[in-house]
Amino acid sequence: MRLGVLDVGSNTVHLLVVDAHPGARPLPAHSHKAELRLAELLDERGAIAPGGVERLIATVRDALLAAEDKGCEEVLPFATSAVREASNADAVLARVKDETGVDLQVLTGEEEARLTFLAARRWFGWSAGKLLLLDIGGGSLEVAFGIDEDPDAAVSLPLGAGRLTAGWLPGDPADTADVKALRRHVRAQIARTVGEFSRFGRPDHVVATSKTFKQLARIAGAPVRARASTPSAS
Amino acid sequence: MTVPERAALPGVSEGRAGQVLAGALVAEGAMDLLGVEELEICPWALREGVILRRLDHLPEH
Repeated sequence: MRLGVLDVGSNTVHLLVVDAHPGARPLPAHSHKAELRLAELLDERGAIAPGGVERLIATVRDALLAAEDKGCEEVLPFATSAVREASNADAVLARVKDETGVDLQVLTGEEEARLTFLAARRWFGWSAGKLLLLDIGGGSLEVAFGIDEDPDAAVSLPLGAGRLTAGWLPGDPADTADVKALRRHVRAQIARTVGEFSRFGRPDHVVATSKTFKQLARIAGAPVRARASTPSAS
Repeated sequence: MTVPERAALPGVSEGRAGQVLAGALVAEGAMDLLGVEELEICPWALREGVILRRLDHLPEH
């Protein structure tokens, strides 16, 4: 069957269409992306502004049409940090449902970390042993660790690249003092949760997902990888 | 480095060039504090996880 997954993230709204069957490797068939930058459309009270809500509705509608055009039997719609933390999340979700029929499932940060870990485990397999997973999204950082498919520890911190840029690095080029202050904030936040992971011992394999890590890997000299896996690679 | 200069780095898209500095601080902090020297990029992430979990709950044919 053809499945669509509609991901309302902090940076993008992304429809991924896959041909999927239980027990088989899901094969990507189509990818439809809109840069909405919801995390940056929050007003001073942390609410998604009316203009942002309109754009979200229009984008969800477009994605639904694309899913229908591609023959999706089912669409799994979910939202992450930007919607989760918006002060008007309930009103936004109700508007989206009224106007598009889409009932966005808001994932908790921990669910986000657990589901990403599941994907990494299936990708690398059991031979990878104890996996430590890192994912830097637009709104949050997810960390998960485990030897099974469901991780033993999974946390989400409000350290997404988009959120931090909007809140801490106003200048271009960034001010050295701002960078220092952000560095301190980031390390203090992460240091608080390190104990939850270090008690499990060393991982056998450390893996990273997210566009941020892919870009950093390229900057650090990693070769361009063929996207044999999936066109959702972002 | 300004945002346009960052956009000229290998692999950095124009749309994300603004965020990559904050992203790098988070990556560096997380790797340092968790004692990670090296990591491998995984092409599957949250969307694939949502699909895989859905498939796990479908009856097998």
